[in-house]
Amino acid sequence: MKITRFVLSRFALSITALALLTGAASAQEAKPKQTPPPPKPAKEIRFPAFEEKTLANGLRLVVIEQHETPSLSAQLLFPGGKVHAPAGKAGLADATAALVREGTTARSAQQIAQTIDSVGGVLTTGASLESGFAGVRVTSDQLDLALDLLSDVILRPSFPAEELERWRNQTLSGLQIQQTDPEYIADAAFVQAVYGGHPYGQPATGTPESVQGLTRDDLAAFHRRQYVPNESILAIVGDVKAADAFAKAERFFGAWKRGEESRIPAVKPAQAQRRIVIIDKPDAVQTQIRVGQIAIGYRDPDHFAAQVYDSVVGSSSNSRLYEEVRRKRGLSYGAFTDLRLPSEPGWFLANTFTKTESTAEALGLVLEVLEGMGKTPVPAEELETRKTYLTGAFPLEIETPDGIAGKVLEAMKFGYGREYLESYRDKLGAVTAEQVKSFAGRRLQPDRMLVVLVGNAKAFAADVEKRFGKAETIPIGEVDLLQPGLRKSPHPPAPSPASPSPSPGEGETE
Amino acid sequence: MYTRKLPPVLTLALALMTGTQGLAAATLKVTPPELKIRQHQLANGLKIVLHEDRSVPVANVQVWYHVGSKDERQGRSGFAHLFEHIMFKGSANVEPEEHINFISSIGGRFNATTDFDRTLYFQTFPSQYLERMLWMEADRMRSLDVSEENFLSERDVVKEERRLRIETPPFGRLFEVVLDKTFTAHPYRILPIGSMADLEAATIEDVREFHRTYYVPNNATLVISGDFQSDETLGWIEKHFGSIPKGQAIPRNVPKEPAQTAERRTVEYDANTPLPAVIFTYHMPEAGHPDLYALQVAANVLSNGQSSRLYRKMVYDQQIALEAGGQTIILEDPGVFFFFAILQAGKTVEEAEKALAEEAERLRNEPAPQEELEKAKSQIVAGQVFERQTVQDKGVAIGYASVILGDVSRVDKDLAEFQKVTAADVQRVARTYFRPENRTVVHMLPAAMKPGQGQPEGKPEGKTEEQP
Repeated sequence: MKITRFVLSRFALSITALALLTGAASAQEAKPKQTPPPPKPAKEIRFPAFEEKTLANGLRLVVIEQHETPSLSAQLLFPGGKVHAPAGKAGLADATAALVREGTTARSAQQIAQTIDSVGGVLTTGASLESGFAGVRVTSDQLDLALDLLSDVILRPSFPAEELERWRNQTLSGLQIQQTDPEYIADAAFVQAVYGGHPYGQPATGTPESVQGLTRDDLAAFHRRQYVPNESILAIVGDVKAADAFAKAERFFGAWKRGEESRIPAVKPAQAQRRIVIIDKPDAVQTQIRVGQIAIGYRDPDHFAAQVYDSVVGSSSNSRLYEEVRRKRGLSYGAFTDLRLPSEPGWFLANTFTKTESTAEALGLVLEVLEGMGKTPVPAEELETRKTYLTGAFPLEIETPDGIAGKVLEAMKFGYGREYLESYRDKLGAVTAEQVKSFAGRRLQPDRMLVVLVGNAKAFAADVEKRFGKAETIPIGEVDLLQPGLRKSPHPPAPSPASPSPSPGEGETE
Repeated sequence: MYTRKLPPVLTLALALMTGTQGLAAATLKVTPPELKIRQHQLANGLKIVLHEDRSVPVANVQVWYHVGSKDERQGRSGFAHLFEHIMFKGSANVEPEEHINFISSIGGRFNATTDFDRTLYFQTFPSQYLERMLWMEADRMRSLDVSEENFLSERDVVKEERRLRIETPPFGRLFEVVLDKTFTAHPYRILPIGSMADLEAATIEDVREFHRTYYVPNNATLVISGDFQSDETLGWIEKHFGSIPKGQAIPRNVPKEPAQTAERRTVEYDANTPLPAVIFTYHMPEAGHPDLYALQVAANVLSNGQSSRLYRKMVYDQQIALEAGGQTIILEDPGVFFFFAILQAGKTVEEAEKALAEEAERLRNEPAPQEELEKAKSQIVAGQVFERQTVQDKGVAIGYASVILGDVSRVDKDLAEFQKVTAADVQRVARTYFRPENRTVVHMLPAAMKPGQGQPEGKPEGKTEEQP
């Protein structure tokens, strides 16, 4: 689970310089230089072969054979993302995905764990913005076990009441950690506030209040409605034979019953003016900064211009944000962007952090970089560099079967096929500086963006308001990530009754 | 952004630290493929390890410098890592940032990491650029050309990194405290990120001296994996690295940790600790020691997967912990085996400590059942298969065996050693190392639990999920 990875990452004792620097290498005074060795001719590389098939129940299958290592994975994508949860049920998609592996009509939670652990495999289930996913990774002699287990948890979960309570207690403890994490608060507050109530903005793991309200019936209903084959894709990749994989997929998933199609609510246009929210954490020594806006959906004609825009601004360590914030001024360790392109308009987000004293300076630099994008076309050399950054990585991205599967699944989810995958690099390569500028001017205007700052407000709020406009300040203890206004209402409604859940035992620790 | 892209690097680092070697078990019928390796050494001492894999036209170049935070002198903690950042700031023929700009401009990906024992620079890129990458790595080994201004700015970056990783996030200081209590003399006492005061004290002269001392061919290993021809590549390496002068003998005067003779206990209250945590550390042998095979198997029995002992007991059955585990931190000098539990809200450190101690005792007192042993071995075999899919991962496995284990052939041979581990071996190492007098116990507690403290300042009630 996410929390586990989060805490464990603290035990990684190695640190990294990560992404460094950027920018057109500014020539200092000329030194007599060696000429770097030239490259050899580039090798032609095409999108790897894959085979597709659709079962009678509508489940789409794709098999990618690659026999270099004796491993395989089966990855299922289905319409069980957080966007599909009903209003008031934040965290339901996560909860359902977590619980399907905690008991089926055939296996108990411990039997599931024993099954996958005994072959050294990995079973993953989860939910993202608009998809649920489940995957099994095993050595290649375990295809039957992988598909048997995967189909069992997806088709026949039993949602035992005691497992739900166990999950609820753990999640509540996990949320207690998350809610003290400035990075998490900044990200979650940004999406909630920018979407103003649309389910894209709900916190994926929910909040203590919403998690208390989830019932077994909620999970079972979500499973019945969203875990359906006719909008799902199963990819089997690695050291397998396509015919064998198709036959076994049919055997294990053929009985999966069709369901109704899902709808994603339309996203309203972006806000009309800049909004600045400061979440006050008085003990912070560093401020988390988020600046962004609702942008476009995956199928938007601006898709490719948006990718190039994102790359120029901040997708890597030679993009502009990094150059300005880190390399030139040492104000941060990182400054990057996040561009999400789901079915409905997703978001663009610039992200950095800096010591409390330089909060206004760093925010000013971020806004300056963004403003520049709508004013001046990206110079030709920079544009080429950014496009090659995106397209040149192709051979790296298809190095593993899972890497290939990721691309195929994404294309198929949005209704595209092989032709789209094969022409993707050409379409990126064809984007012009004018298209990028036009996209920025129409879609990403810094004077209409949402700004979220998490830090010691007293130290920077006045400065920020003076330079960038009025800000609302919310003490971190009063933040409610379920509300577009981000504030707890003065008299919160009682959480809807959940099945009796053991009290976390307040006070026992003292 | 680096926050979302970081996990792979952390995972890699963790894999390195925990030495995920492999072995084959009866349950699985597959064998991890062997990595075909060719070795060479230049007259100046540079070691070269090549692994051809022509399946995709990409190559990975890694330069391992055998210097880490344990080599830092007193008062300069964090320097090896700070220096790693400086290596991107220009050399005789490469402008500041050019290394990064070039890799990005060809669609390549790169990074660098510093741990206690080594500093590693790595890049994956379309293979036609291999000679250019070698030339760039050679240039920064031969010469470093860094301005005072660039140095000062990068030092500020590293301070932000420390604020981000240690001073701000929940549990950010946990490991800093644990190591400080576990080690008394050895520099493993201090995390590679170092202290703010020591970072502040570093000077550009330190930078030059560090390069002169440690960034020399006789302290480096070049690992190349992927799509290339070994003979042609060896020619390029000779051409670009061959004339770099050999350095002085590398200073290796790292203080030794005295044997621990009595249990040490610490209770620490910390503002960024949202839930209590209990950690035990036990000193254990250095990387390469034969007892580590059985200790790694023990770690899997304790915490790999949801059927593992500590998960099953503390997270699942007793519901004391949000997370619990027992893992190895394998280091070049003697490292540690640690048990940990992050408590669920409302549970006490006494309950958690009791449960962890029971599991340590159980390993000492009872041989592990065959089924658990087989499961642990299957996890190690499968892990080796899964973790050697990319040229980058293969390079890391090869480099680790070569630099830290000092024998590149162990990259494949270790698997057989894991296979030989018996229940009696696991019990023996548990008895040898999981002794109370070899243990350090740390209770890391929320500041609000400090005796005599009321509600902490500025922390309004009601931010947690406590029920009425």
